[in-house]
Amino acid sequence: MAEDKKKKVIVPIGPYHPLLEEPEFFALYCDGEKVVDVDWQAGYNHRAIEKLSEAKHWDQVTFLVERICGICSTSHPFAYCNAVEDLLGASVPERARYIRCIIGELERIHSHLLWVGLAGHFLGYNTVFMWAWKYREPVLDMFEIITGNRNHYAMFKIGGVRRNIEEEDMPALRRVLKGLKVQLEMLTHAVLDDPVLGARLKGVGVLTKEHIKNFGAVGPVARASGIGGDIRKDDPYAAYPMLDFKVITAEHGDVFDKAVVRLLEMFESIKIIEQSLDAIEGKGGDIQTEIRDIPPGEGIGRHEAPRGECFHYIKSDGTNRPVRHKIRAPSYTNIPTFKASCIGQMIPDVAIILAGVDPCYCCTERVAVYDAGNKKKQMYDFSRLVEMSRQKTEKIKKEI
Amino acid sequence: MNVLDTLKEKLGGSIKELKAHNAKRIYITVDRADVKKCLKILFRDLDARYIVASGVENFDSFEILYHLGFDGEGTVVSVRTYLDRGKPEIESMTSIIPGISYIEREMKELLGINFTGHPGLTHFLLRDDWEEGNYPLRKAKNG
Amino acid sequence: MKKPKLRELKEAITSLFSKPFTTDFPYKPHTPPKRYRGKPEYNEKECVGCGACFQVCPAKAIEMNDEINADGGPTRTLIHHPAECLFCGECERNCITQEGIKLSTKFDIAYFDEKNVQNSVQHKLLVCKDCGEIIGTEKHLLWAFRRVKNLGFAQPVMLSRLMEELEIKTGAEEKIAPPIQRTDMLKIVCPRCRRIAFISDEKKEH
Repeated sequence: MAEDKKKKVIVPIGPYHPLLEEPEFFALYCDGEKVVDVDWQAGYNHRAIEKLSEAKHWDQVTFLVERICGICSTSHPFAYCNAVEDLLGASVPERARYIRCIIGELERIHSHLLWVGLAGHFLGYNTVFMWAWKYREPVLDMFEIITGNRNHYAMFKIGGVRRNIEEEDMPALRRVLKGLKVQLEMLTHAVLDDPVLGARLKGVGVLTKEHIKNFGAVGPVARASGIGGDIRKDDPYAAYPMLDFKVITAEHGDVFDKAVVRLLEMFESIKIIEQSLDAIEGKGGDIQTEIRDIPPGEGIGRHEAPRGECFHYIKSDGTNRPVRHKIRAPSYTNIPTFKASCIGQMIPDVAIILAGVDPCYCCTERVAVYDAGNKKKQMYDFSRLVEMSRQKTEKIKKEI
Repeated sequence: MNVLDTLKEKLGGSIKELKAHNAKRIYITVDRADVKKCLKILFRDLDARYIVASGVENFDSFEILYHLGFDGEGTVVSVRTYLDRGKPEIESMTSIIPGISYIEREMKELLGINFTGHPGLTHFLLRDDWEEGNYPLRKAKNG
Repeated sequence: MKKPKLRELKEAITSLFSKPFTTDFPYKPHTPPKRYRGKPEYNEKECVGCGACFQVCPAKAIEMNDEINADGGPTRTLIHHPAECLFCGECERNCITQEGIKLSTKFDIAYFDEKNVQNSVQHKLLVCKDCGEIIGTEKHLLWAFRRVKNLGFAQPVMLSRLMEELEIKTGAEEKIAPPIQRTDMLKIVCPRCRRIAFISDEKKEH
């Protein structure tokens, strides 16, 4: 294989990637336009969160892990709090459980809308980009009203939540959800009925069940391939066992199905938030239990983040700091699936396949194509890659 | 049949210690030599999902926990094995779980655990000219 | 084929005739929501200078400087650095008086010179007249006195602070002529020195 690789053109994608927890570098080994192999290199923005976490108090770690990711910033504190509560065997007050669900699901909506917008942008559908991000804005405004910030909500606390959702904010939240439902309906049908998008995305970047199992892929990526794994249903935590929602799955495992799963999931999220609001409106009640100390032991916490299962393992020796804190973000197992999904695809499709997994797009920020044989280097920047992707869409548009 | 009983039946003699923290969190300790066998049974025969592996440094040993998820029951089974403090080494599990390759590379460079039979144990997170023998996640480094 | 296009056309037309979705932010001021987590600010009147905010801050954005040899007596200064701040609200939540540091709704904190946005509070610090150990800020002791009510009369340092406030001369501020003796226990001494004062007097040795 090594000999073979030398003869191929290498398309490096990456490495700087400031948004997600895993900055990446991909080397695409190409034969003409066709990708034959992919290599992944990470660590360009390694911040040693696991090490840092060993130097922070249990309570301060929630703020540290919140800063792992800027988009799904609540998923890490959620999983971390689940892990510590698993160690303690502590129970969380009912109102706090519902508030956790509301924050988690609002985040899913804004994260998926962000993805839809960016996917549209890569394909040359800037209207989708503009509209999706416009619909996302009221969700972020709602976050600002409820938690005090558009991102980094600082809501989670071991044993509960830090802030209550005030009764006066609930009608506004309901109004936003109602408006969002109409807009999402329109957006979902616009994407699903579009013949060009269908031609562009169907059958691209297919992941079979076997691939998913081998790489341990999670979240919408796995669900698009027909594996119904969802931590909210499988290992219920917070208020999820008390809520009624469906796990969305699709069959083909291509980029189109990943889009379908994400779009339909947003409706389920709206349903969850509405049910949670019904459950807590006008009821009052505690939002946190006091946790005095953390005994020695170990705990595992999981949360179904917008991108899939977020896994935290903590080990305590009875002091006020964790001895070991292992964090597994969903993209850690989702990104290696490129090895399966990109092979045999065309370079213009790679941008959307990479996008389909929903890592961060910044990884495609700097692309250089060089021929290993004569060391000639040709820089492909991000806009060039997107341009190639768009040209292909244009071509398909004309054909249809 | 729940996961706990299945584990007892299938792994039987390999299990040195079985601790169920609660119904959904099971920790089993096995010998270093038995890890591969156990993971094969769990991952291939019992169809568990690979989640991740965590390397932990103790005072007198290293330990690796292979976390596997049984999604139907919502159980996480963590297979724990202890390695020598002086020469932490274990067989690579890439032949059973292809996706485990990255976390093994990560453990190698952050904790200095060697994985024999790994197809490409190169640098993954740290830069290529990182000095040998400097393992940032080890605790002794900072006293 | 026709129907979806009509649906999108409707959205396009409504978007065309509605006002821009974005705001004219730099030209028109923006009002953040009521519970927005903005820059934390000290309330000089309510802050007692206990340093709890400094201890709980996850980002170490609060600096605590104890200057024993300052002109005009020892002081404690708490400085909040907005550049490091996470706006998590831990300082506000853990403030022992609940009013000492509060998150404001100020979000526009870009600066050329950090001094323009820094927020600080200064307190008079009490140090042991014998060994120079920091006891706490004067305000903190008075705050504690009000919390423990009558029990505070049993604590010489607290008592002397209260009497000072009532303008009764106590002599607590006087310097201690070593070695420390039982008569010095009403002066401002740290718990360790007071223990020595008791013991050495009984055993007649230091």
